[in-house]
Amino acid sequence: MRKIHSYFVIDYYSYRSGLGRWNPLLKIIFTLAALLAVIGTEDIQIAGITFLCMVVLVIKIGKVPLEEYGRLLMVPAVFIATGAIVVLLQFEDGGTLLWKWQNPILEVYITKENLKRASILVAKSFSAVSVLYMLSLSTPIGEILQELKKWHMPSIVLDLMYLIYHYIFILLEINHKQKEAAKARLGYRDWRTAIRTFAKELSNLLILSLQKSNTYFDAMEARGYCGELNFLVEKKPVTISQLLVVGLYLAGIIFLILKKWQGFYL
Amino acid sequence: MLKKKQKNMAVLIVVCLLFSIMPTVNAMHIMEGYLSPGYCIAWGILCFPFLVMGYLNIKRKLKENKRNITLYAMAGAFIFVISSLKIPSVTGSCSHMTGTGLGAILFGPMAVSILGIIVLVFQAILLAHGGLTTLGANTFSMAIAGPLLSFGIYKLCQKLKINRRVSVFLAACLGDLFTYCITSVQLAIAYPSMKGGVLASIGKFLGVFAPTQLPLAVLEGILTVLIMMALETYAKPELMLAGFNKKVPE
Repeated sequence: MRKIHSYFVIDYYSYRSGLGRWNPLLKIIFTLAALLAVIGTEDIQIAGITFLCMVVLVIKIGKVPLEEYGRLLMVPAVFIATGAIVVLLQFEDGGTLLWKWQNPILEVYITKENLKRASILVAKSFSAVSVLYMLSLSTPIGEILQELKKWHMPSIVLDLMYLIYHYIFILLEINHKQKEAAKARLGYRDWRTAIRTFAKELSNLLILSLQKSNTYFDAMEARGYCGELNFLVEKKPVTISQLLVVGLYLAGIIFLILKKWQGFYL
Repeated sequence: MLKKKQKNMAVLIVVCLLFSIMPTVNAMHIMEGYLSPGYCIAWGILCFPFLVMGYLNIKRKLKENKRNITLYAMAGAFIFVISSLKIPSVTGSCSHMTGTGLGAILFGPMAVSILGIIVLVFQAILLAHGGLTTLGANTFSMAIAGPLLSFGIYKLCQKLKINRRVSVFLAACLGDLFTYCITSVQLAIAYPSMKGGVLASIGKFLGVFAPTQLPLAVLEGILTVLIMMALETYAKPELMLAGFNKKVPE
Protein backbone atom coordinates (compact mmCIF):
# COMPACT_ATOMS: atom_id res chain seq x y z
CA MET A 1 0.00 0.00 0.00
CA ARG A 2 2.86 2.29 0.86
CA LYS A 3 4.14 2.16 -2.69
CA ILE A 4 0.81 3.09 -4.25
CA HIS A 5 0.40 6.00 -1.92
CA SER A 6 3.90 7.27 -2.59
CA TYR A 7 2.78 7.99 -6.16
CA PHE A 8 -0.07 10.07 -4.91
CA VAL A 9 1.39 12.06 -2.09
CA ILE A 10 -0.65 15.02 -3.22
CA ASP A 11 -3.93 13.14 -3.12
CA TYR A 12 -3.07 11.76 0.33
CA TYR A 13 -2.45 15.17 1.85
CA SER A 14 -5.40 16.78 0.13
CA TYR A 15 -7.76 14.77 2.34
CA ARG A 16 -6.07 15.55 5.64
CA SER A 17 -4.93 19.12 5.08
CA GLY A 18 -5.66 21.80 7.63
CA LEU A 19 -6.75 23.92 4.68
CA GLY A 20 -9.36 21.27 3.87
CA ARG A 21 -12.00 23.08 5.91
CA TRP A 22 -11.69 26.12 3.66
CA ASN A 23 -14.43 26.83 1.18
CA PRO A 24 -13.34 25.20 -2.11
CA LEU A 25 -14.69 28.00 -4.30
CA LEU A 26 -12.66 30.53 -2.34
CA LYS A 27 -9.55 28.41 -2.78
CA ILE A 28 -10.09 28.09 -6.52
CA ILE A 29 -10.60 31.84 -6.92
CA PHE A 30 -7.54 32.47 -4.74
CA THR A 31 -5.49 30.08 -6.89
CA LEU A 32 -6.58 31.61 -10.17
CA ALA A 33 -5.98 35.16 -8.93
CA ALA A 34 -2.52 34.28 -7.63
CA LEU A 35 -1.61 32.45 -10.86
CA LEU A 36 -2.74 35.41 -12.91
CA ALA A 37 -0.74 37.78 -10.72
CA VAL A 38 2.42 35.66 -11.06
CA ILE A 39 2.36 34.99 -14.79
CA GLY A 40 0.72 38.29 -15.71
CA THR A 41 3.21 40.60 -14.04
CA GLU A 42 6.44 38.63 -14.65
CA ASP A 43 7.90 40.30 -11.60
CA ILE A 44 10.43 38.64 -9.29
CA GLN A 45 9.16 40.46 -6.22
CA ILE A 46 5.54 39.38 -6.73
CA ALA A 47 6.65 35.83 -7.53
CA GLY A 48 8.75 35.70 -4.37
CA ILE A 49 6.01 37.02 -2.10
CA THR A 50 3.48 34.63 -3.62
CA PHE A 51 5.86 31.71 -3.14
CA LEU A 52 6.44 32.60 0.51
CA CYS A 53 2.72 33.04 1.22
CA MET A 54 1.88 29.70 -0.35
CA VAL A 55 4.64 27.79 1.42
CA VAL A 56 3.65 29.26 4.79
CA LEU A 57 -0.03 28.46 4.16
CA VAL A 58 0.61 24.88 3.10
CA ILE A 59 3.12 24.06 5.81
CA LYS A 60 1.78 26.06 8.76
CA ILE A 61 -1.98 25.72 8.25
CA GLY A 62 -2.05 22.76 5.88
CA LYS A 63 0.40 20.79 8.06
CA VAL A 64 2.27 19.19 5.15
CA PRO A 65 5.74 18.09 6.39
CA LEU A 66 8.49 20.36 5.13
CA GLU A 67 10.62 17.58 3.64
CA GLU A 68 7.65 16.16 1.76
CA TYR A 69 6.95 19.61 0.38
CA GLY A 70 10.57 20.00 -0.67
CA ARG A 71 10.45 16.68 -2.49
CA LEU A 72 7.30 17.78 -4.29
CA LEU A 73 8.97 21.00 -5.39
CA MET A 74 11.71 18.91 -7.01
CA VAL A 75 9.20 17.30 -9.37
CA PRO A 76 9.03 20.22 -11.81
CA ALA A 77 12.57 21.41 -10.97
CA VAL A 78 14.26 19.56 -13.82
CA PHE A 79 11.95 20.90 -16.46
CA ILE A 80 12.22 24.42 -15.11
CA ALA A 81 16.02 24.20 -15.00
CA THR A 82 16.32 22.83 -18.54
CA GLY A 83 14.04 25.51 -19.90
CA ALA A 84 15.96 28.19 -18.05
CA ILE A 85 19.26 26.94 -19.53
CA VAL A 86 17.80 27.28 -23.00
CA VAL A 87 16.69 30.84 -22.34
CA LEU A 88 20.04 31.63 -20.71
CA LEU A 89 22.38 30.41 -23.44
CA GLN A 90 22.68 32.12 -26.76
CA PHE A 91 24.62 31.02 -29.79
CA GLU A 92 24.94 34.40 -31.45
CA ASP A 93 26.69 37.55 -30.38
CA GLY A 94 24.58 40.45 -29.13
CA GLY A 95 23.43 42.18 -25.97
CA THR A 96 25.52 43.00 -22.93
CA LEU A 97 28.00 40.17 -22.72
CA LEU A 98 28.63 38.54 -19.33
CA TRP A 99 30.33 35.28 -20.24
CA LYS A 100 31.38 33.63 -23.43
CA TRP A 101 32.89 30.41 -24.56
CA GLN A 102 34.27 30.03 -28.03
CA ASN A 103 35.79 27.16 -29.86
CA PRO A 104 35.89 26.24 -33.56
CA ILE A 105 32.57 24.41 -33.58
CA LEU A 106 30.52 26.20 -31.00
CA GLU A 107 30.13 29.67 -29.58
CA VAL A 108 28.14 30.12 -26.41
CA TYR A 109 27.22 33.46 -24.93
CA ILE A 110 25.45 34.55 -21.78
CA THR A 111 24.15 38.08 -21.84
CA LYS A 112 22.75 40.27 -19.11
CA GLU A 113 19.34 40.36 -20.76
CA ASN A 114 19.17 36.59 -20.98
CA LEU A 115 20.26 36.17 -17.38
CA LYS A 116 17.41 38.44 -16.33
CA ARG A 117 14.90 36.60 -18.50
CA ALA A 118 16.03 33.23 -17.18
CA SER A 119 15.85 34.28 -13.53
CA ILE A 120 12.37 35.72 -13.97
CA LEU A 121 11.35 32.48 -15.65
CA VAL A 122 12.64 30.35 -12.78
CA ALA A 123 11.08 32.61 -10.15
CA LYS A 124 7.67 32.74 -11.73
CA SER A 125 7.46 29.03 -12.50
CA PHE A 126 8.41 27.97 -8.98
CA SER A 127 5.98 30.51 -7.64
CA ALA A 128 3.18 29.27 -9.92
CA VAL A 129 3.93 25.67 -8.94
CA SER A 130 3.63 26.61 -5.27
CA VAL A 131 0.23 28.17 -6.01
CA LEU A 132 -0.89 24.99 -7.75
CA TYR A 133 0.30 22.96 -4.75
CA MET A 134 -1.70 25.20 -2.40
CA LEU A 135 -4.84 24.12 -4.24
CA SER A 136 -3.97 20.49 -4.90
CA LEU A 137 -2.53 19.77 -1.44
CA SER A 138 -5.69 21.01 0.25
CA THR A 139 -8.60 20.20 -2.05
CA PRO A 140 -9.67 16.67 -2.95
CA ILE A 141 -10.59 16.20 -6.63
CA GLY A 142 -14.23 15.58 -5.68
CA GLU A 143 -14.61 19.09 -4.31
CA ILE A 144 -13.04 20.67 -7.39
CA LEU A 145 -15.42 18.72 -9.61
CA GLN A 146 -18.40 19.85 -7.48
CA GLU A 147 -17.40 23.44 -8.17
CA LEU A 148 -17.05 22.75 -11.89
CA LYS A 149 -20.58 21.35 -11.81
CA LYS A 150 -21.85 24.68 -10.49
CA TRP A 151 -20.10 26.36 -13.43
CA HIS A 152 -22.22 24.26 -15.83
CA MET A 153 -19.54 21.93 -17.06
CA PRO A 154 -21.28 19.28 -19.23
CA SER A 155 -22.34 16.40 -17.01
CA ILE A 156 -20.89 13.76 -19.34
CA VAL A 157 -17.41 15.19 -18.89
CA LEU A 158 -17.87 15.52 -15.14
CA ASP A 159 -19.09 11.93 -14.76
CA LEU A 160 -16.17 10.75 -16.87
CA MET A 161 -13.82 12.67 -14.60
CA TYR A 162 -15.33 11.15 -11.44
CA LEU A 163 -15.12 7.65 -12.85
CA ILE A 164 -11.61 8.09 -14.22
CA TYR A 165 -10.45 9.38 -10.85
CA HIS A 166 -11.84 6.29 -9.12
CA TYR A 167 -10.58 3.85 -11.72
CA ILE A 168 -7.05 5.26 -11.58
CA PHE A 169 -6.67 3.92 -8.06
CA ILE A 170 -8.21 0.57 -8.93
CA LEU A 171 -5.85 0.13 -11.88
CA LEU A 172 -2.82 1.23 -9.90
CA GLU A 173 -3.60 -1.30 -7.22
CA ILE A 174 -3.97 -4.07 -9.79
CA ASN A 175 -0.70 -3.03 -11.39
CA HIS A 176 1.00 -3.05 -8.01
CA LYS A 177 0.00 -6.68 -7.54
CA GLN A 178 1.02 -7.55 -11.10
CA LYS A 179 4.41 -6.04 -10.54
CA GLU A 180 4.94 -7.95 -7.34
CA ALA A 181 3.95 -11.22 -8.98
CA ALA A 182 6.23 -10.51 -11.94
CA LYS A 183 9.15 -9.65 -9.69
CA ALA A 184 8.69 -12.86 -7.73
CA ARG A 185 9.01 -14.74 -11.03
CA LEU A 186 12.21 -12.88 -12.03
CA GLY A 187 10.34 -10.79 -14.56
CA TYR A 188 12.60 -7.84 -13.90
CA ARG A 189 15.97 -9.59 -13.81
CA ASP A 190 17.48 -7.64 -16.69
CA TRP A 191 16.48 -4.82 -18.97
CA ARG A 192 15.29 -6.90 -21.92
CA THR A 193 13.07 -9.05 -19.76
CA ALA A 194 11.92 -6.01 -17.82
CA ILE A 195 10.69 -4.29 -20.97
CA ARG A 196 8.84 -7.44 -22.05
CA THR A 197 7.29 -7.89 -18.63
CA PHE A 198 6.30 -4.26 -18.50
CA ALA A 199 4.51 -4.48 -21.84
CA LYS A 200 2.74 -7.68 -20.79
CA GLU A 201 1.67 -6.07 -17.54
CA LEU A 202 0.15 -3.16 -19.38
CA SER A 203 -1.67 -5.24 -21.97
CA ASN A 204 -3.04 -7.44 -19.24
CA LEU A 205 -4.09 -4.37 -17.34
CA LEU A 206 -5.98 -3.09 -20.36
CA ILE A 207 -7.76 -6.43 -20.82
CA LEU A 208 -8.68 -6.55 -17.14
CA SER A 209 -9.89 -2.97 -17.14
CA LEU A 210 -12.09 -3.49 -20.20
CA GLN A 211 -13.59 -6.60 -18.63
CA LYS A 212 -14.19 -4.79 -15.37
CA SER A 213 -15.84 -1.80 -17.00
CA ASN A 214 -18.85 -3.97 -17.84
CA THR A 215 -19.22 -5.20 -14.28
CA TYR A 216 -18.84 -1.71 -12.91
CA PHE A 217 -21.64 -0.46 -15.10
CA ASP A 218 -23.90 -3.25 -13.81
CA ALA A 219 -22.96 -2.30 -10.27
CA MET A 220 -23.76 1.35 -10.92
CA GLU A 221 -27.10 0.50 -12.50
CA ALA A 222 -27.99 -1.77 -9.60
CA ARG A 223 -27.55 1.24 -7.34
CA GLY A 224 -29.87 3.40 -9.38
CA TYR A 225 -27.59 5.06 -11.93
CA CYS A 226 -29.63 6.65 -14.68
CA GLY A 227 -27.30 8.87 -16.63
CA GLU A 228 -25.93 11.19 -13.95
CA LEU A 229 -23.78 10.79 -10.89
CA ASN A 230 -24.87 12.68 -7.79
CA PHE A 231 -22.95 13.09 -4.58
CA LEU A 232 -23.77 14.49 -1.18
CA VAL A 233 -21.77 17.69 -0.77
CA GLU A 234 -20.41 18.78 2.56
CA LYS A 235 -21.04 22.46 3.18
CA LYS A 236 -17.92 24.46 3.94
CA PRO A 237 -18.83 28.07 4.69
CA VAL A 238 -16.45 30.95 4.06
CA THR A 239 -15.19 32.31 7.37
CA ILE A 240 -13.78 35.70 8.18
CA SER A 241 -10.30 34.35 8.83
CA GLN A 242 -10.21 32.73 5.38
CA LEU A 243 -11.32 35.97 3.74
CA LEU A 244 -8.73 37.84 5.77
CA VAL A 245 -5.84 35.68 4.52
CA VAL A 246 -6.94 35.86 0.88
CA GLY A 247 -7.74 39.56 1.18
CA LEU A 248 -4.40 40.41 2.74
CA TYR A 249 -2.51 38.60 0.01
CA LEU A 250 -4.51 40.19 -2.79
CA ALA A 251 -4.20 43.65 -1.23
CA GLY A 252 -0.44 43.21 -1.01
CA ILE A 253 -0.17 42.14 -4.63
CA ILE A 254 -2.40 44.95 -5.89
CA PHE A 255 -0.33 47.41 -3.89
CA LEU A 256 2.87 46.10 -5.50
CA ILE A 257 1.38 46.27 -8.99
CA LEU A 258 0.22 49.84 -8.44
CA LYS A 259 3.64 50.77 -7.11
CA LYS A 260 5.24 49.32 -10.22
CA TRP A 261 2.86 51.23 -12.47
CA GLN A 262 3.52 54.48 -10.72
CA GLY A 263 7.20 53.79 -11.16
CA PHE A 264 6.58 53.78 -14.89
CA TYR A 265 4.80 57.08 -14.82
CA LEU A 266 7.33 58.91 -12.70
CA MET B 1 44.81 29.23 -21.67
CA LEU B 2 45.03 25.81 -20.12
CA LYS B 3 43.16 27.02 -17.09
CA LYS B 4 40.39 28.33 -19.27
CA LYS B 5 40.08 25.03 -21.04
CA GLN B 6 39.81 23.27 -17.72
CA LYS B 7 37.09 25.64 -16.66
CA ASN B 8 35.16 25.00 -19.84
CA MET B 9 35.59 21.28 -19.39
CA ALA B 10 34.20 21.56 -15.86
CA VAL B 11 31.15 23.45 -17.10
CA LEU B 12 30.58 20.81 -19.76
CA ILE B 13 30.83 18.01 -17.23
CA VAL B 14 28.32 19.71 -14.95
CA VAL B 15 25.88 20.07 -17.83
CA CYS B 16 26.30 16.41 -18.76
CA LEU B 17 25.80 15.36 -15.16
CA LEU B 18 22.66 17.43 -15.00
CA PHE B 19 21.24 15.35 -17.80
CA SER B 20 22.32 12.02 -16.44
CA ILE B 21 20.88 12.48 -12.96
CA MET B 22 17.52 13.75 -14.08
CA PRO B 23 15.21 12.26 -11.47
CA THR B 24 12.17 12.06 -13.69
CA VAL B 25 11.83 12.52 -17.38
CA ASN B 26 8.31 13.60 -18.03
CA ALA B 27 6.82 13.40 -21.43
CA MET B 28 7.42 17.09 -22.01
CA HIS B 29 4.66 18.67 -20.00
CA ILE B 30 5.02 22.44 -19.96
CA MET B 31 5.10 23.30 -16.28
CA GLU B 32 2.82 25.67 -14.43
CA GLY B 33 3.72 29.31 -14.80
CA TYR B 34 5.86 28.89 -17.91
CA LEU B 35 3.63 30.70 -20.36
CA SER B 36 2.24 34.20 -20.14
CA PRO B 37 -1.55 34.64 -20.07
CA GLY B 38 -1.82 35.51 -23.77
CA TYR B 39 -0.28 32.21 -24.88
CA CYS B 40 -2.29 30.24 -22.32
CA ILE B 41 -5.52 31.58 -23.75
CA ALA B 42 -4.41 31.31 -27.38
CA TRP B 43 -3.52 27.61 -27.10
CA GLY B 44 -6.74 27.01 -25.22
CA ILE B 45 -8.78 28.57 -28.02
CA LEU B 46 -6.88 26.50 -30.57
CA CYS B 47 -7.88 23.33 -28.71
CA PHE B 48 -11.51 24.27 -28.42
CA PRO B 49 -12.86 23.02 -31.78
CA PHE B 50 -11.13 19.66 -31.31
CA LEU B 51 -12.54 19.31 -27.82
CA VAL B 52 -16.04 20.13 -29.03
CA MET B 53 -15.70 17.47 -31.75
CA GLY B 54 -14.47 14.99 -29.18
CA TYR B 55 -17.33 15.84 -26.84
CA LEU B 56 -19.95 15.41 -29.55
CA ASN B 57 -18.34 12.13 -30.58
CA ILE B 58 -18.46 10.77 -27.04
CA LYS B 59 -22.00 12.06 -26.53
CA ARG B 60 -23.15 10.25 -29.66
CA LYS B 61 -21.47 7.04 -28.58
CA LEU B 62 -23.13 7.28 -25.16
CA LYS B 63 -26.54 7.76 -26.78
CA GLU B 64 -25.96 4.56 -28.76
CA ASN B 65 -25.14 2.65 -25.61
CA LYS B 66 -25.08 3.99 -22.07
CA ARG B 67 -22.62 1.28 -21.15
CA ASN B 68 -19.88 3.08 -23.03
CA ILE B 69 -19.41 5.52 -20.15
CA THR B 70 -17.55 3.01 -17.99
CA LEU B 71 -15.57 1.91 -21.04
CA TYR B 72 -14.45 5.46 -21.80
CA ALA B 73 -13.67 6.05 -18.15
CA MET B 74 -11.57 2.90 -18.02
CA ALA B 75 -9.77 4.00 -21.17
CA GLY B 76 -9.01 7.37 -19.60
CA ALA B 77 -7.81 5.81 -16.37
CA PHE B 78 -5.65 3.41 -18.38
CA ILE B 79 -4.01 6.28 -20.28
CA PHE B 80 -3.34 8.01 -16.96
CA VAL B 81 -1.89 4.88 -15.39
CA ILE B 82 0.48 4.05 -18.24
CA SER B 83 1.69 7.62 -18.29
CA SER B 84 2.38 7.55 -14.56
CA LEU B 85 4.20 4.19 -14.41
CA LYS B 86 7.96 4.11 -14.58
CA ILE B 87 9.45 2.43 -17.61
CA PRO B 88 12.25 0.08 -16.53
CA SER B 89 15.42 1.81 -17.65
CA VAL B 90 19.11 1.11 -17.73
CA THR B 91 20.42 4.34 -16.28
CA GLY B 92 18.20 4.49 -13.22
CA SER B 93 16.52 7.69 -14.25
CA CYS B 94 12.83 7.05 -14.56
CA SER B 95 10.85 7.93 -17.60
CA HIS B 96 7.19 7.67 -18.49
CA MET B 97 5.26 6.79 -21.60
CA THR B 98 2.76 9.24 -23.03
CA GLY B 99 0.34 6.49 -23.98
CA THR B 100 -1.36 8.78 -26.44
CA GLY B 101 -0.23 6.77 -29.47
CA LEU B 102 -1.70 3.60 -28.03
CA GLY B 103 -4.84 5.49 -27.05
CA ALA B 104 -5.26 6.94 -30.54
CA ILE B 105 -4.83 3.52 -32.19
CA LEU B 106 -7.24 1.82 -29.79
CA PHE B 107 -9.91 4.44 -29.20
CA GLY B 108 -9.52 6.92 -32.06
CA PRO B 109 -8.16 10.48 -31.97
CA MET B 110 -11.50 12.19 -31.29
CA ALA B 111 -12.19 10.35 -28.04
CA VAL B 112 -8.57 10.76 -26.99
CA SER B 113 -8.84 14.54 -27.12
CA ILE B 114 -11.43 14.61 -24.31
CA LEU B 115 -9.84 11.75 -22.37
CA GLY B 116 -6.46 13.45 -22.85
CA ILE B 117 -7.52 16.77 -21.38
CA ILE B 118 -9.06 14.99 -18.37
CA VAL B 119 -5.86 13.00 -17.89
CA LEU B 120 -3.82 16.20 -18.13
CA VAL B 121 -5.96 17.91 -15.47
CA PHE B 122 -5.40 14.96 -13.16
CA GLN B 123 -1.69 14.86 -13.94
CA ALA B 124 -1.45 18.53 -13.02
CA ILE B 125 -3.41 18.17 -9.79
CA LEU B 126 -2.29 14.73 -8.61
CA LEU B 127 1.28 14.55 -9.91
CA ALA B 128 2.23 18.17 -10.61
CA HIS B 129 3.14 17.26 -14.20
CA GLY B 130 2.03 20.25 -16.21
CA GLY B 131 -0.27 22.89 -14.82
CA LEU B 132 -3.62 24.60 -14.95
CA THR B 133 -2.51 27.67 -16.89
CA THR B 134 -0.50 25.58 -19.37
CA LEU B 135 -3.37 23.14 -19.81
CA GLY B 136 -4.28 24.53 -23.24
CA ALA B 137 -0.76 24.24 -24.62
CA ASN B 138 -0.27 20.76 -23.19
CA THR B 139 -3.63 19.57 -24.46
CA PHE B 140 -2.80 20.78 -27.94
CA SER B 141 0.56 19.00 -28.09
CA MET B 142 -0.24 15.79 -26.19
CA ALA B 143 -3.95 15.17 -26.60
CA ILE B 144 -4.59 16.60 -30.05
CA ALA B 145 -1.53 16.94 -32.30
CA GLY B 146 0.29 13.76 -31.20
CA PRO B 147 -2.73 11.41 -31.33
CA LEU B 148 -3.91 12.88 -34.64
CA LEU B 149 -0.54 12.23 -36.25
CA SER B 150 -0.31 8.74 -34.72
CA PHE B 151 -3.75 7.88 -36.01
CA GLY B 152 -2.96 9.34 -39.43
CA ILE B 153 0.25 7.34 -39.75
CA TYR B 154 -1.46 4.17 -38.56
CA LYS B 155 -4.25 4.57 -41.14
CA LEU B 156 -1.77 5.45 -43.89
CA CYS B 157 0.33 2.38 -43.14
CA GLN B 158 -2.79 0.24 -43.23
CA LYS B 159 -3.67 1.66 -46.64
CA LEU B 160 -0.14 0.99 -47.90
CA LYS B 161 -0.33 -2.53 -46.47
CA ILE B 162 2.76 -2.11 -44.37
CA ASN B 163 3.47 -4.74 -41.73
CA ARG B 164 1.21 -4.15 -38.71
CA ARG B 165 4.03 -4.16 -36.19
CA VAL B 166 6.00 -1.63 -38.19
CA SER B 167 2.96 0.60 -38.57
CA VAL B 168 2.17 0.49 -34.85
CA PHE B 169 5.79 1.29 -34.05
CA LEU B 170 5.88 4.20 -36.50
CA ALA B 171 2.58 5.58 -35.27
CA ALA B 172 3.55 5.55 -31.59
CA CYS B 173 7.14 6.66 -32.08
CA LEU B 174 6.45 9.47 -34.53
CA GLY B 175 3.42 10.61 -32.54
CA ASP B 176 5.68 10.94 -29.53
CA LEU B 177 8.32 12.83 -31.50
CA PHE B 178 5.68 15.11 -32.94
CA THR B 179 4.45 15.95 -29.44
CA TYR B 180 7.99 16.83 -28.45
CA CYS B 181 8.47 19.04 -31.53
CA ILE B 182 5.19 20.86 -30.92
CA THR B 183 6.12 21.47 -27.30
CA SER B 184 9.48 22.87 -28.38
CA VAL B 185 7.74 25.18 -30.81
CA GLN B 186 5.31 26.29 -28.11
CA LEU B 187 8.18 27.07 -25.76
CA ALA B 188 10.13 28.83 -28.49
CA ILE B 189 7.22 31.07 -29.43
CA ALA B 190 6.92 32.08 -25.80
CA TYR B 191 10.69 32.54 -25.39
CA PRO B 192 12.23 33.61 -28.69
CA SER B 193 15.99 34.15 -28.85
CA MET B 194 17.21 37.71 -28.56
CA LYS B 195 18.84 37.27 -31.89
CA GLY B 196 17.53 34.85 -34.47
CA GLY B 197 14.05 34.94 -32.96
CA VAL B 198 11.67 32.01 -32.76
CA LEU B 199 13.49 29.77 -35.25
CA ALA B 200 16.79 29.87 -33.38
CA SER B 201 14.93 29.24 -30.16
CA ILE B 202 13.12 26.21 -31.60
CA GLY B 203 16.51 24.74 -32.43
CA LYS B 204 17.74 25.31 -28.90
CA PHE B 205 14.69 23.74 -27.24
CA LEU B 206 14.75 20.76 -29.62
CA GLY B 207 18.42 20.25 -28.91
CA VAL B 208 18.20 20.47 -25.15
CA PHE B 209 15.34 18.02 -24.85
CA ALA B 210 16.60 15.63 -27.56
CA PRO B 211 18.86 13.48 -25.33
CA THR B 212 15.90 12.47 -23.20
CA GLN B 213 13.08 12.57 -25.71
CA LEU B 214 14.60 10.64 -28.65
CA PRO B 215 15.29 7.41 -26.72
CA LEU B 216 11.94 7.79 -25.02
CA ALA B 217 10.13 7.95 -28.35
CA VAL B 218 11.82 4.78 -29.59
CA LEU B 219 11.05 3.05 -26.30
CA GLU B 220 7.44 4.14 -26.51
CA GLY B 221 7.26 2.67 -30.01
CA ILE B 222 8.69 -0.66 -28.90
CA LEU B 223 6.42 -0.87 -25.87
CA THR B 224 3.35 -0.02 -27.91
CA VAL B 225 4.18 -2.78 -30.39
CA LEU B 226 4.64 -5.30 -27.56
CA ILE B 227 1.36 -4.26 -25.97
CA MET B 228 -0.54 -4.47 -29.26
CA MET B 229 0.96 -7.89 -29.97
CA ALA B 230 -0.14 -9.21 -26.59
CA LEU B 231 -3.59 -7.73 -27.03
CA GLU B 232 -4.01 -9.34 -30.43
CA THR B 233 -3.06 -12.76 -29.18
CA TYR B 234 -5.01 -12.79 -25.93
CA ALA B 235 -7.79 -10.29 -26.12
CA LYS B 236 -9.72 -10.26 -29.38
CA PRO B 237 -13.15 -10.07 -27.70
CA GLU B 238 -12.03 -7.26 -25.42
CA LEU B 239 -10.53 -5.37 -28.34
CA MET B 240 -13.86 -5.78 -30.10
CA LEU B 241 -15.39 -4.14 -27.03
CA ALA B 242 -12.83 -1.34 -27.08
CA GLY B 243 -12.95 -0.96 -30.84
CA PHE B 244 -15.46 1.85 -30.82
CA ASN B 245 -14.25 2.57 -34.31
CA LYS B 246 -14.40 -1.06 -35.40
CA LYS B 247 -10.68 -1.04 -35.93
CA VAL B 248 -10.34 -4.58 -34.72
CA PRO B 249 -7.14 -6.19 -35.95
CA GLU B 250 -7.68 -9.33 -37.95
